[in-house]
Amino acid sequence: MSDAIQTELWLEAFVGATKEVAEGFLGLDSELVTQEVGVCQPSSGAYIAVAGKRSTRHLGLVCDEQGRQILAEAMLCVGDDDDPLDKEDVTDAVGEVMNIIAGGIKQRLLDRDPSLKLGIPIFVEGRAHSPIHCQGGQAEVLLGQVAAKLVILGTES
Amino acid sequence: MKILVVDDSKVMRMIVKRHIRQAGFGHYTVEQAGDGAEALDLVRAGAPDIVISDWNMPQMNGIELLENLRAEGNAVPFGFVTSEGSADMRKRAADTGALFVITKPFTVDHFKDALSKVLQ
Repeated sequence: MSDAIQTELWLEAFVGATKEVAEGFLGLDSELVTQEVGVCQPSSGAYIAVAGKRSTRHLGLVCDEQGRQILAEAMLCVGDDDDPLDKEDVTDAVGEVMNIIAGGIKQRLLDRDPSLKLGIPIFVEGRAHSPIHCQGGQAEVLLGQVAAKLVILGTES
Repeated sequence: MKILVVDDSKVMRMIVKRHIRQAGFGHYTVEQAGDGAEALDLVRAGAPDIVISDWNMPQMNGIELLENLRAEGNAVPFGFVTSEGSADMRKRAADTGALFVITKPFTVDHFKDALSKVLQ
């Protein structure tokens, strides 16, 4: 029997870490709307790999352009009187939010796979396609007013 | 008086710089580098009072930067600000010569506690 980390556990860790970052760091309330293993709709957003000997996943924080702007402004404490952030700063900020969430995910799963390591976050524009053998999952969450998807791509070893 | 902040994210460098100021060290000039290789050149050229570095970066990551500095005999005070704070990483950081590891997400108090032991 595989000792890989099951997708359900990845998803649970992802939702928990996101809630912690949203509420503790970004100052946004968070709410889980839906959560489903086997469904995965990766599109534009910040992605990061979390790789270990037993499991490797690509994790994505997906939301629309307005949502990304809101998350970035929350991270940088941008006020109404401040100049709006440019697109490069927004994608950088959302990438960093995903990076911080991934750190929380790793902490939650370390006892199951001590070899887990984080990659460097990237921003993907457009729709990603995952091979049919990938075992994914996703959760829909509300971060303040931002409707976001937490997307998991990858295979169990 | 100078602090070198190293992170491949410009946004994160801005946030760290703000936290340094709010922690009471706004009288230090904050210099920035986008990766370990750039930071190594800046340390060699300018002798900062402390280096505060991310861990995961392209070109040269934070632990490689620290290893290179120590291999050259450079004892510049060094600390990490990273999203990964596992026990293994903290041990490796300490064994290599880092004074602290601040885990993201962080607060101003984290910087106050860490920097007050090193800076005036």
